Amino acid sequence: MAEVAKQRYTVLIVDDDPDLLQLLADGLELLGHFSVVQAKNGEQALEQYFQVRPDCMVIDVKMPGLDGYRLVQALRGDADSAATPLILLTALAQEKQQFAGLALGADRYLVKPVPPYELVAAVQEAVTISEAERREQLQSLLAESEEMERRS
Amino acid sequence: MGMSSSLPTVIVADPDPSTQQQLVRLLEANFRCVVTGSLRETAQAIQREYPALLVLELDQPDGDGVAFIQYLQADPFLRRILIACVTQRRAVMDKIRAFRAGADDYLVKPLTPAANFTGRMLLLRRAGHIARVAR
Repeated sequence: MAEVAKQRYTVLIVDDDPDLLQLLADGLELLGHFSVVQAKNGEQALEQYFQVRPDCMVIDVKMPGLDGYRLVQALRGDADSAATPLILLTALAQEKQQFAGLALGADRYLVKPVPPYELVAAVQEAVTISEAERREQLQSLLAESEEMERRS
Repeated sequence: MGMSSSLPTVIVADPDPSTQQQLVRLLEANFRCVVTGSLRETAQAIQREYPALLVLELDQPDGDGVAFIQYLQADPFLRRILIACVTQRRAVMDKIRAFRAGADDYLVKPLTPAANFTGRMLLLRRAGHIARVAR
């Protein structure tokens, strides 16, 4: 098998639950061969973003201080950090919450508990699709969640 | 003129006239825009208009925008106004301070088309109550 020079993607993951953080980070490293940087809250994640410049971020929604939604807004609101794919994790499965997450600019939304392989697949997809595809996907997700809102 | 009263009110608080113009252009189809150039003017306009949304430059000629957000959050009535910072301040600490104080969104100038400011403000308004509950 020809060995293709494989790019090692960096993932910045933030969760205020240290056990879960470690579990998910291990999964991304071992199953996905990503280089993983951990942050234990939103504020630390925002600071680390500009040091690490990750290829993708995995963000827990519910955190004390700067929560996942605001972290997404802070990143999307600055041209310097706006293009990074963002995956939100949450225990809240309500449709309205999902709408809020998408509306505010996350790319994907996974409901906990997230099996490690599922997270790896989501990150893999996020780092490999082009920005244009990503935008298109986001638009259709947004249209979907707007439809969902209209029906509710 | 009569139609415009059905639109939600936004206060655009930015001391720079060309930014004021740009923001009003982006918002006026969906909001009734009131423009202010200082925190003093903004405080007066807020009492008069009770807007749905405040678009706030943090660098103001008569004080600090973050302190102004804190002042609004301390009032049980005024804290219901959604606050979007649109500012030249881009340091991480400024973003953190603004969100800690109670900002609902934060955009760094200059606004590019990719930032989709108009869409974002409409979504913020719709998602605003959810965001507030999640806080």
